[in-house]
Amino acid sequence: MKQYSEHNFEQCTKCTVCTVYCPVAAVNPLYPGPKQAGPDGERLRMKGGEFFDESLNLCLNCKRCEVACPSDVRIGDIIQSARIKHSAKKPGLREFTLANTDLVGSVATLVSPVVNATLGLKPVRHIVEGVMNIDHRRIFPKYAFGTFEGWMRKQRKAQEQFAKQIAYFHGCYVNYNNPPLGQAFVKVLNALGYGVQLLENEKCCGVALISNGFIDKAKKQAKSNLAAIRKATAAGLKVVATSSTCTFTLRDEYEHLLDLDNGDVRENIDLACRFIYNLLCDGNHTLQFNPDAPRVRVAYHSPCHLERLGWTQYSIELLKLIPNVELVKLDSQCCGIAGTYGFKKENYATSQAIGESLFAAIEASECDYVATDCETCKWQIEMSTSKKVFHPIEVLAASL
Amino acid sequence: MRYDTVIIGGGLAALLCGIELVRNGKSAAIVTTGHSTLHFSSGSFGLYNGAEPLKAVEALGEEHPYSKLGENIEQLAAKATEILNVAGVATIGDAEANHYIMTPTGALRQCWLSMEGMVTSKDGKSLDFSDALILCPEGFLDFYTQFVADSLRRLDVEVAEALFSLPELVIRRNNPTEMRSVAVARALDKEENILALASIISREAKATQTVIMPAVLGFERTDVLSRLEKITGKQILTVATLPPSVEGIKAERALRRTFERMGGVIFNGHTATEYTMDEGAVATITTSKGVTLAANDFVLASGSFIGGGLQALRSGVTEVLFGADVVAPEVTELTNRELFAAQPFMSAGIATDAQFKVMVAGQAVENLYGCGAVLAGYNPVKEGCGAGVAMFTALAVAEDIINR
Amino acid sequence: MNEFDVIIVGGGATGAGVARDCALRGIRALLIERDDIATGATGRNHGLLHSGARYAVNDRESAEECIKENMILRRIASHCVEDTGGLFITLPEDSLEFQAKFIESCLAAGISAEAIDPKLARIIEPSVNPTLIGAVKVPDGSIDPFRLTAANILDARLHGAKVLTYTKVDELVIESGRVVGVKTTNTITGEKGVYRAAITVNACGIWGRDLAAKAGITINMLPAKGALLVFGHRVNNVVINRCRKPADADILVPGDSITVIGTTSSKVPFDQCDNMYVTADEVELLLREGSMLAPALNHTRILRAYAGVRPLVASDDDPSGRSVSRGIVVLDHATRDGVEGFVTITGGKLMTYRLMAEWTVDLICKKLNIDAKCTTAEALLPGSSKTSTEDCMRTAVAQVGGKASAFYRHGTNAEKIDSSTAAKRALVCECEQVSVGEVEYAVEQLGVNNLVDLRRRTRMGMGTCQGELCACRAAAVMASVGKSCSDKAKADLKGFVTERWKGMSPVAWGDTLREGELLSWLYDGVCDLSNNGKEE
Repeated sequence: MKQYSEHNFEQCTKCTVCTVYCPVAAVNPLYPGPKQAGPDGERLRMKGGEFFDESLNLCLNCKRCEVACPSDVRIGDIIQSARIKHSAKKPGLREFTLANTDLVGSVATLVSPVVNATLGLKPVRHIVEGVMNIDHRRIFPKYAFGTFEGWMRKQRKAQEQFAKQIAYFHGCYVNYNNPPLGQAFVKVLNALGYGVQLLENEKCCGVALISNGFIDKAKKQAKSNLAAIRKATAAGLKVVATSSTCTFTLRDEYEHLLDLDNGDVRENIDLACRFIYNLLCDGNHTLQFNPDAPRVRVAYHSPCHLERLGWTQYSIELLKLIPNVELVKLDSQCCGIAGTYGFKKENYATSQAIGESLFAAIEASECDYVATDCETCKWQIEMSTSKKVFHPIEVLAASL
Repeated sequence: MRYDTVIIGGGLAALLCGIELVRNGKSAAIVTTGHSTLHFSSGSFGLYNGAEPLKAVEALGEEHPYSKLGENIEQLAAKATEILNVAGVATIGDAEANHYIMTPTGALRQCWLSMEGMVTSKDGKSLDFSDALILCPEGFLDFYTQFVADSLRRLDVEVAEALFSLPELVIRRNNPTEMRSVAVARALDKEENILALASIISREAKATQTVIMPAVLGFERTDVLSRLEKITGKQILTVATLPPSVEGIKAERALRRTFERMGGVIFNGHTATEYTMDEGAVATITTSKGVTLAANDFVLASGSFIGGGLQALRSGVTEVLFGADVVAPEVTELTNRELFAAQPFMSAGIATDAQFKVMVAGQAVENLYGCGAVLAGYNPVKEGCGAGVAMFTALAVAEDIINR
Repeated sequence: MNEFDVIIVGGGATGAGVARDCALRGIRALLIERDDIATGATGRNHGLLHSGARYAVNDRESAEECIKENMILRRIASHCVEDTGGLFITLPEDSLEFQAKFIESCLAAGISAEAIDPKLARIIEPSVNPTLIGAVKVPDGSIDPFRLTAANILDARLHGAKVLTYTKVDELVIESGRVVGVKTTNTITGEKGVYRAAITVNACGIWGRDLAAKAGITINMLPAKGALLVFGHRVNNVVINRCRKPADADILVPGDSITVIGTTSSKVPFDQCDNMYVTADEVELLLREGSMLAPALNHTRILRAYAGVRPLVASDDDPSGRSVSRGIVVLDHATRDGVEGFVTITGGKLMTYRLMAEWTVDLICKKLNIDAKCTTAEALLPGSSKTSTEDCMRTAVAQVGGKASAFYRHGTNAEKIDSSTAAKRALVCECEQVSVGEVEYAVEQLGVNNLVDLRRRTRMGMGTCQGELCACRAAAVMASVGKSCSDKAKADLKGFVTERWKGMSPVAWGDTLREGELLSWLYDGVCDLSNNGKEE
């Protein structure tokens, strides 16, 4: 086993590899780059907080520096932790709106036709930009009429019929914006002989709270989620999420950024594609595919946080198992949205510049649609290309 | 997940081994912590120092990895060159006679292969051009024109020097740290910047036929140099920079893409941390990301200390994953206090049998091979054989696996 | 032009202090240093701003001197000093009785010393050994000896003193039994020189024995080697000492971006004073004892090891040479040896350099019949103005790639660093944030001749990578501002990375060895600098 320094940044040999793979530094000269913002800066910040540079807020927390680093330095964590510790920029109304995905979502879903119609109007988007500094070129994901949780309540009886059960961490996006993805997940799991339950009182994983500076609230929600996950674990249930970012946040960011010990349940938190692929490989589970499903050419985009989880290959292998899917693997690169990052007016240009080559690759792939495990990548790609984007689980469900 | 072969490591050895396996119909996965030491490449590959490297290696002692390859070295050198070329890494040079490449500080260093388009010399004493313009991006600190200029003058080349900038680089320079080789190379991926540079070259070079630049010509694009030559009608040559090495990165990317295109799988950001054995053979490895991989054969191409294959603790040198048998001096004897002397740690590594099967507790593990910098018995810097050992041992291991 | 009132030989803190004191009193002074400033014992210690507490029990006089100078340095050299505070901790194997005696002695010497709850000590300094059973708070701090010496030199020059570095004294000019000057050789150009003055001051530290010998004078000195280790970052923010009779490796000092543990103590022959290596046993001892102060040292990257020589002087009244004088030693060789015009200042410590200078210049004034008061205890050193430095820091950090590190290093003098263009703001050394502008400032204003000098003025190459990434850039920037041709720049580069590696080599395991491998690959492999050497 490797021996780790208490201060992980010391493993940095200043080799500059991370600087090659930072999507932000490649397009925005105001960002000091992962080496200077991360391990170099951390060493200086130990002298005093005056060495903190607010331009660290330009880091979109994609963690590609960490995946690239040959020395296992947690560069992205170092940068995010420094922001949490030192940033003097207080979050405002915009951050509140973007970060509180569940609070805002629960209000919006009640009146979704109004919200969708209003947010869709050009003048309104300009007002949103003026008041909130959210770029007017951004289109908010539409809110669903009625939540996924509401739909699941009606399914409880049916789901309880299955001998094997899992707990589903659906995330805010499935709940408020895209219940059909959750429904697809339930369909696939049922086909595999699993009933799906919800966690007792799921809260937003907190990724947007963390990136927008609401650390106390993120901690509070994380503790609540961990309690719910512990309860599910104690009941013998695996906790499975469709969103790669939710999964990553629950497994890694809780411990690394919020300083919460999740070691007892971490291994029990899984990503849908990995969970399903492993089931299909164990020799006891099979899926009946619909022989009449139309052939589709699907381009797969691997989200940054999935790359950091190291589980991209599961989504790819799962898609390869679907008979009617012709898979094109896109070169792994950041799409530029990074959750709420790309919604901020000051980040719009950076965000689009980062994604530019991905968008071009998607258009050139001649795919019917794009598949990816991350909802915010989906927004970005749909906003920036001519293609629709689905989750691999939706692709799978459609082929059954 | 299961593959025919799982390769631990993602550098030159791992990639060559992987490509050779997949192009011979084997499935293979590469497990790598991060990007490789190709990011500090000089733009050249060494086989062995000396005028005739193939002759020089005949005299090596049995502890040297080359001694296990015997007479196959020439054929392995040909195969390695072919794979590089198939992947799109165009090279010049051959194993019969070394040539020389100009280093960032202007020295001429012996090498077997060098990437096409770099400043090289056949004999280390002369160049095939007699006048040159050295053109360097303004504000780029990882290349110093004067080092190269003075060396060229010593070789009787008439040298002119100029700086250039482009609007995009002016913006880029506002960042105090990120005006690196890669930033310039990225700018030159864009056609408008190539055209702008071409007109600068034409203006600055005047009658001079040869233009020398730091190796920053294109990050994704590999045709920037030839585009510039075509537009300007000049001969364009490059010299390596301090890290990151654009040429090395392009080579790594080309090899990775070739491996993946042929069906290989790369697990990026994964460190192999655990393994299981079954009847004296390795059965599975598990990575830091909780992924367990099963295979018939395993290749340990995890590199030396910098690559993470070896680790020097205060108690001694160990091989990190399998605890393989190590050939290394005591920790207090690992270094020579003179930096430019032969450093003992450079020759530290794991013990293997004649087929490069890794020795653990005195026994060769039947399905575990070692190749590249993790091996003991050679000094890559002083012997100029790092790339040769990496590629040849990797290919020898791949052949053994294919033939089994 | 080669006539002065005083020639000072030795460019450590003491020599620089004497030069400054002379200059401030209107005495025409020439300082001659065979190498760069602060290369001897001055640059090879903890960088501890002693409160004096360490000496309180056994050496009341030294303790009193320390605390007085401590308070003066905080004022006159604020940009060289960090007010970290210090702890003297008692571990289970130490006696709390000593602690009682320690506090009493501190208070008697005028050093504030307050026993605090060990729990509070752990809050004040989280890295401290958690098993501690007692802690005393004292006004220790850290002081950067390079900055301190450079600031003294700068002020001396501002007030008319002349400074020659890389100038070796070949012989003393002696006329009718009186030292009247020195003959020198410039070690870079080979140029010879003769300089005359009424008084020559020997401020050569351990090498002072040899200078005195040139006048036929014997000074009994004992070279005592002290080895230290530099850790990769600030492990502690408060100085940690062991509350026991002073022993090996019982002081842990945070200084700028790093932490230093030291020191050992062993006698070495004179012929090793110029070339000292830290042994494996010394490293072992430093780590073993150091981790008693802060257990984190056991798993913190060690950047390098270095050693200095304390110039211990045998008391003149002890013919055996065993009894060592710990305090300041001013020798007027006219009264001691019958040689007029020659004064030796030695003993003492970095902390008392200013006082040593004051006593020496007082003696000079007496001998030259000059009536001028010492003002060095009041006059601020250049760059040292606490309030304006803090203001500068605030504005500096507001900009991307701001000059925070530069202000930290140069105080208000950092305003003289050109940061008006992107070219000047570009960082040469990324670990320590040294910009092109700062390199140019150091070369032009601070008497930098080579990369090692540059390191002493700016911390370039003192960070995690020990110059692996920046040395080549710095060599190029220096060459391009006209300091050297490319051959000299390459030789300088080679010398610099060689010097860095000498410090890394004794601690080359773990990440330090990985860094060493990269260093070797880049400079011996990719650049082929060993080959570069051959062609010259």
